[in-house]
Amino acid sequence: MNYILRTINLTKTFKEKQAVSNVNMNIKKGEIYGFLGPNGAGKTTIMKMITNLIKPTLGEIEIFGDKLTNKSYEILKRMGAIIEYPVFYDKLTTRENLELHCEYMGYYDKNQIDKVLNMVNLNGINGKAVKDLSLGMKQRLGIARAIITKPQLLILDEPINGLDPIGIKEVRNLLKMLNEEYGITILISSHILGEIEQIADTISVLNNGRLIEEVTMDSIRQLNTDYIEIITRDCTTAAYILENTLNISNFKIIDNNLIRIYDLKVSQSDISKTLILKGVNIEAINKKNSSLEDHFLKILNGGGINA
Amino acid sequence: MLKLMKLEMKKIKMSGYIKGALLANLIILAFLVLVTFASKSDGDIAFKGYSEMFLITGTFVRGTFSIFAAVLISRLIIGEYTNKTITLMFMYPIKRKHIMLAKLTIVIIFTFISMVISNIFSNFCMYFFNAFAKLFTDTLTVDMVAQNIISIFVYSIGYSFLSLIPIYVGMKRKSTSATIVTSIILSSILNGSFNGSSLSSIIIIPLILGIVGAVISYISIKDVEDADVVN
Repeated sequence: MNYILRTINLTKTFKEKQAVSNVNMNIKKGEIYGFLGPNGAGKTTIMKMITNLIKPTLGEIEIFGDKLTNKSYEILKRMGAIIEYPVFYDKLTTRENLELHCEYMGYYDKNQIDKVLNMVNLNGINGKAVKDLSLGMKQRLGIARAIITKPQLLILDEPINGLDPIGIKEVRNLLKMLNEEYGITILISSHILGEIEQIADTISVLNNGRLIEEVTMDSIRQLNTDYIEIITRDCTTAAYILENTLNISNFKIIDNNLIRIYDLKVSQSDISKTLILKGVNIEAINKKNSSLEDHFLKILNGGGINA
Repeated sequence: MLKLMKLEMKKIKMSGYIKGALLANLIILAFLVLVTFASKSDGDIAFKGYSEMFLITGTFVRGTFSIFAAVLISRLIIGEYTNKTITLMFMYPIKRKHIMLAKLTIVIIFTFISMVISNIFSNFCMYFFNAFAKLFTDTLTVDMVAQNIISIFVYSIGYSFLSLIPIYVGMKRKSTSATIVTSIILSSILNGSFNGSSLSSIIIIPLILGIVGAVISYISIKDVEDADVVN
C-alpha cells in the first residue's frame, strides 16, 4: 500500500499530561482522511507535529516515505496547511499575504494567485487588508494560501469553522475537486461528523489523545444497517405474526410498543398490510437508518466518554 | 539571507519606520534647541564646548534609537509570536535560525545606521545653531571632528548590539510591552547622568554590554529549531 503519511506510536506529553498517546495513523496517497474527535482530543496537536511545529515526545512520523526530523525542510515544501485558524499579516492586503507566502515557499508562478482566489470565490478583494475580512473570508483565504503552491498533502484543521452553509458546500466541492483533479491527499479535521462523513474516504476517531478507530467509509457504510421500526401497542401479537406469518426472524423487541426489523427482504408495505389484516393496530411504521453518528457515538461512549 | 531580510522588511513595511526615524530626528533637534534656550534664559549654559555638546547629542540619539530598536524587535520577533504568525513562518521550508538571524540583522543594521546618521545630523545642525546663537566660542578643529566621528561609530556599534538585550525578556514573556519597557529601563540606567557623567560615557561599558547583547540574542534563538510552537 502506498502511504503518504504514517505515524508510528506518536506520543506527545506536555508537562506530564499526555496530549497524544500512541497514535498510529496511515494516510493513503490520494485519499481524503477525516480526523474526527471532540474538542481537545488532540487533533491539532497531531497536525502540529506533522507540520513540525511541535516535536513528538515519542514515536515518529513518516511523510512521503521519509522520516520527519527537525531538519525536514524539503518535506514542508510539499505540504499546505491551516493549523487551528488561519493567521495572516493583518495589515497587509490579501494579495500581499499570498505573494509573501509564495516567496517564502520558493514558488514563483504569480498567475496562480488569481487562480486560487478564484477557486475560493475571493476575487475582487485583492486590495483589502486582511484585518477587514470576515472570519469566513479569512478561512477561504487560508485555504487559498494552503493550496497555492499545489502541495501533495493538504492539512486542514477545522477548515469550515466560521463558514455559512453555502460556504461550507463550496469548500466541500473545492476539496473534492482538488482531491480528484489534482490528486492532492487531504487530511481534514473536524468535530462536525456530518461534514467529514460527506467527503472523507477514511475516518479516524480520536478521543483523549488516543486513536480509537481508523476505518474506511466504505466499511462503515456496510456496517450501517437499515431497519424498519414499528410502533404498536400490541407488541406480542405483532412479534408472533412477524415470525410465523411473514417468516422474519431478525427483529428485536425494543420495549413494550417498539419493534425493530432488521431483515429487509419483506417490504414495509407488506408488513403493514399483513399486521393490519391480522388486527394489530399500528401507530407508526418507518424505515430508519442507524447513522454514522450512532456508530461514532457508540465508539466514543465505548471509550468511556460521554460524547 | 538578503532575500529573507527583504521579505521581512516588506512584511512590516519598513518605510514607516524610516519615516519614524526621520521624525525622531526632528524631535531630538527641537528638544536640543529648546534645552539650550531654556538653560540660556536661566543664565546657565547647557554646553560649555563642542565636546560637551557632542556628548549630549549622542546621548539623546542613542537613547532614542535603542528604544526604536526595541520597537522593531517587538514587531519583528515578539509580534510574530503574539500574533501567532510564527506558526506560519516556521512551516516554511526555511531554517528557523536563518529567519531569526535575518530579523536580528535588520534590527542591528537599522539601529546602527540610524544612530550614525542621526548623530552626525544633529551634531551638524547644532554646529550651525551655535554659529547663530553663539552659545560658546570654542573653535571646532578637524581633530575634534575626526575624534567625534570615530566615537560615533564605536558607540553606535556597541549600542546596536546592546539594544538586543530586551529580546531575552521579550522572548521569555512573549510580550511586546515587556520588550519595550526593558529597553527603556536599560536606556535610562545607561544614559541617566549623575554629576554630568553617565554609565555610557565610559566607552567600555556600552561595548561590553554590546557583547552581552550579542550573546543574549544568540541564547534566545539557539533552540528555536527544536522548540515547540505552542500558544
